[in-house]
Amino acid sequence: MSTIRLPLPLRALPLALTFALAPAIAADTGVGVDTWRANKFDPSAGAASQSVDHRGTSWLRSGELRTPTGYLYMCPAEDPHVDDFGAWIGYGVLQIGAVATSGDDRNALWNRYVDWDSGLVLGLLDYTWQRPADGTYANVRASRISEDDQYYQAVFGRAGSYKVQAFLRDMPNVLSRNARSLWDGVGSNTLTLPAGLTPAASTPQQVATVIAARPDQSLSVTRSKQGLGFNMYLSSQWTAYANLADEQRSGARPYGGPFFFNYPFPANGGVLETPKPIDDHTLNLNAGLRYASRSWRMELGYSGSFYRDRWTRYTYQMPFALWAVVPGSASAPLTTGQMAMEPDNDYHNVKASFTRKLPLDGELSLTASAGRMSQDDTLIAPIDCQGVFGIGLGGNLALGPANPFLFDCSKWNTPAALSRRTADMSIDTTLLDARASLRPTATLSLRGGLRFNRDDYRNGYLAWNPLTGDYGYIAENGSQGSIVPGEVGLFNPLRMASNLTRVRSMPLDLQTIDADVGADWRLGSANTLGATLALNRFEPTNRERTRLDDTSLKLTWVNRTTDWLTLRVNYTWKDSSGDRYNFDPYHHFYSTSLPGYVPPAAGTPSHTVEAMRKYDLSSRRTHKVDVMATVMPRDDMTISASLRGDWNSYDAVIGRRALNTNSATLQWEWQPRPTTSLSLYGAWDRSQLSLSNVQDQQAGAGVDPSLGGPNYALIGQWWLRDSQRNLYGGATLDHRIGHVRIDANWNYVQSRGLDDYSYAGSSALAYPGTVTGTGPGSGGFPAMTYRVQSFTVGVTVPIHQRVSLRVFDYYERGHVSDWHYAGFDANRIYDHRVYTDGGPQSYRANLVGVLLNVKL
Amino acid sequence: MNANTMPRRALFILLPLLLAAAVSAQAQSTAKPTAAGKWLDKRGHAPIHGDAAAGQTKSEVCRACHGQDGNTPVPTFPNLGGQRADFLYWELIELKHGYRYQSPMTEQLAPLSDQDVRDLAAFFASQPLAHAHDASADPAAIELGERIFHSGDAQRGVPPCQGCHGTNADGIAQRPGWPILQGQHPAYLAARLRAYRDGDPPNSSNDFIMNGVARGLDDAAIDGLAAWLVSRGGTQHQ
Repeated sequence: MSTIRLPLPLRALPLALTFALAPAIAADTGVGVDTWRANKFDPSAGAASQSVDHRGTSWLRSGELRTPTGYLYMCPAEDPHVDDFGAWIGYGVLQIGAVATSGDDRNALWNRYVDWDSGLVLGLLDYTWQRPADGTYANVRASRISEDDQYYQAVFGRAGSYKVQAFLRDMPNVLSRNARSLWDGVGSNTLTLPAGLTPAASTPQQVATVIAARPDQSLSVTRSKQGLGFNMYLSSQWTAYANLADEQRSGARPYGGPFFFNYPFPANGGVLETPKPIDDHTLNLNAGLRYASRSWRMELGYSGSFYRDRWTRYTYQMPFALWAVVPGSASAPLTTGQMAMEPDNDYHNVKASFTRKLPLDGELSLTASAGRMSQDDTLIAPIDCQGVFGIGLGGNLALGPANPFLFDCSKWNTPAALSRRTADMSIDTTLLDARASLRPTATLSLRGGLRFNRDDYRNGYLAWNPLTGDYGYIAENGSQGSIVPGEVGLFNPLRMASNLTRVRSMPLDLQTIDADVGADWRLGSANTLGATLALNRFEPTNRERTRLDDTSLKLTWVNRTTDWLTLRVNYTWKDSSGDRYNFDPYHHFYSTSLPGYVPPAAGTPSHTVEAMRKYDLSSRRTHKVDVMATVMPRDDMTISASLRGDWNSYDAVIGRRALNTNSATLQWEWQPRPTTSLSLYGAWDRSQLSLSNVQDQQAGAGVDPSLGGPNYALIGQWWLRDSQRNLYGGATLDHRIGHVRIDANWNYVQSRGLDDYSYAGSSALAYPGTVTGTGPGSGGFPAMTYRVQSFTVGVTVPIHQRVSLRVFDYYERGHVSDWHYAGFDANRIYDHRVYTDGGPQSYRANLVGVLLNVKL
Repeated sequence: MNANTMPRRALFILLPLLLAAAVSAQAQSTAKPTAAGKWLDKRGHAPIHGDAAAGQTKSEVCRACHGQDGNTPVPTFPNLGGQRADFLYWELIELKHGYRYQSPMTEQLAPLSDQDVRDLAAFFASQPLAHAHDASADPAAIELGERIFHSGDAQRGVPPCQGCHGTNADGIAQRPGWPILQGQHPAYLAARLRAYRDGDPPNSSNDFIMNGVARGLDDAAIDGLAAWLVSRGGTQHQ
């Protein structure tokens, strides 16, 4: 289906319909249609620009009010200027002005999720009409920063009766501003080499020359979304709702493009970073009925999601020639690679929930839902080639029994090469959930729940070519089999009877059962104790374990002994264990399961090392501690602090061994007056991930899976410690001097990642030759850092009762150090590797703006 | 920015501005000068203390209108006897400093010191609460008034009065700045409620509350509340 972006007038149809259909339908705020409208220009959706009401938060008491957890509420905004239109009243705000950017204002990080553009901007138009006699209202809301960064919303309704809303929204995601695509046709599904380059026959030098002449270009994906929502009261107990939203994505992003390894095969293979086209849309729909009475609540609902991609695949031309590693043999030229796009998907889900009040202030809720995700895309041919692919022995590219490693493209580049023409796949989901709570005494509450969930895969796919009788998936666009004889990724009981290759799709059915019981007990007025015991059983299919049980106990303590302190402490203990761990449950999905498979003379290579434990199914022990304190030293001040620890120990020699995270936060808020507020924020967190793996030694044909055996010898073991440390800081000031408002904001984020490794011997390394000797050693990769600071200063001056002028400056400085992209400024071509994205760049950029704020 | 698209984009942004300006020009502004008006903030003050005996000697002029013990026979004047001292003090301060537009009380309170006002408040608070009665009140009106006082009127957005004025309209101990209503003259009560309902500019932070509360009251509700409150009689507030 084509997903050509509609022109704005057509996309505005839902907005027009909002007003046309409004009287027939009606309101409930329970289900929203993207109810938050904001952008990076004003993430607060207009709240930040409103003047604070200097009269305070409440007429009933002085000072600021606090949330139940002790934080100060922000003061409300000033009353709007209300205009009288007879039976209607109206009020609103218009922010309009101009911005100018400078510095590195094309930088991708500076433009992430925003499309800054010097010129006029509509910061916000927000206008509300109300008819007090019957509570009818209408609201329009709009903001436009640039062509790809804008939203418009209209709402119409009557309080307690109905509500209709519609919106349009465009949001950009700039991924790269320094991309240099080797290919023409960026954004389409056909990427071709430019004139001067010959597919499968160009040299790295020729490619580098073309790339060097390319100007930097932008790769971005814009999301354009429009929606329509209806809510209505059918009676005092029944409500109905229906929401529809359609989102299109368009653009291109850096992606992959495999043509087999290049590092171990210099001047061979191909690693291509292609610009993947993005052109899809998703239609989301939900509708239902709700019932609420004093003792019953009920909801019957349907939700659906329909994903459509314009393309089923995209193709890219391969610039480089491949050559077979067997001396004297020839490799057929491969000119084109292909990449499947995400499949179209239909999702349906129906849900019913019932809640009944129980004696002892209790409640019982039952929920059941069933859903189906289905995909039936037309499948793409296994390869896009002409002539032959593979290796011709003796330099001969003639098909025939004498050339067992050479394949006929015409028998693989057609849908007739597939065992069926469409995907015909689906996953059924089932959910049953029951929860109950009781409050037998004023100081004791009890709760419990039971939840059952299943994901059932329907159908599977056997990769079998009826034209050839071969099984399997062609590897790396045919390149692997064109470089290494026999590694084409296929099995045939007559011609390739000992080839080990994947031949089926893998259904990952899953059943989970969760049960929990808990109690909260209030001890006097100052202390509350709580405990929750939870049991979770995971029963996956076609995985290393058929059962994994999580048992957890969470203890909580809340203390309010003094008026000025709320202390909360949580501790969680969790143990995960299961049945026997089978390191290779995948026999059924490989050629070893097919009749006619003949193990190689030395035996079938092992799937992986026996000691490997995948982290999601590994036995582990977890301890978590949270200590949170909210201190109220004065009525107008709050200090909050927290310490958190999350320590996970895995029962694994090979695989993830530990993941520990510690963090601390400290925040200070002060609101001495309604028109003055200050805050400071600081946070630190550090996580460490430890894992180990072992390099196979290519010994004994790789048959023995045991750690310490000839293939997975201990000399090949290595250990990695990944450390991630983040620092956050922030400060805000909002102060009014006379009628002039001053606001200032500072934010700081620093992230630093470091990988240290050690190894038992040099044979643990991919490139043993890069170190001296064969014994143990250690090393580390350069630190990856990301540091961004931003400052905002604004002054708002009233120039009329209804008009104020805001002058502001936003400065942002970012420093990025990512060694993966080192050297890309000078060169994007390394042998047969082609990189499109130049990577994140450090920057300093500034935005200065003037906004006229008019109370309409 | 592309120079070709600039005029179109400028038009796009200026259009809503022109529309909004046109709408505003057509509209008749009914904004009330509440935000910029002068009003007394009665929130968050410490309890007041005064000398009741001294207040008695200073109350001669007051008693001419409000009665010897603060309970006046004139139905349009408020009874002061037995009222809360904090409430009386802040009402007097509001009058003394001219927050209430052109009130004759302002001139009369002008020569008094703050201590004088505290003493007067203490004196009237120490007097017995009025025992006003209105034998002519319609029972149906009294019933309506009681219902609104205790339950409010959800459909009109009127909260129950008892939340701030006490179950028996005898005040709430934790809120000394809010008045006792029982036994007050119905004519005076009705006049004040109508003033709140009709949007008289607020003179104090409490008036902002009452403006919102009274907005949903019609004449029948106001008369019913006044009738029920006076029917509560008066008991000496402790």
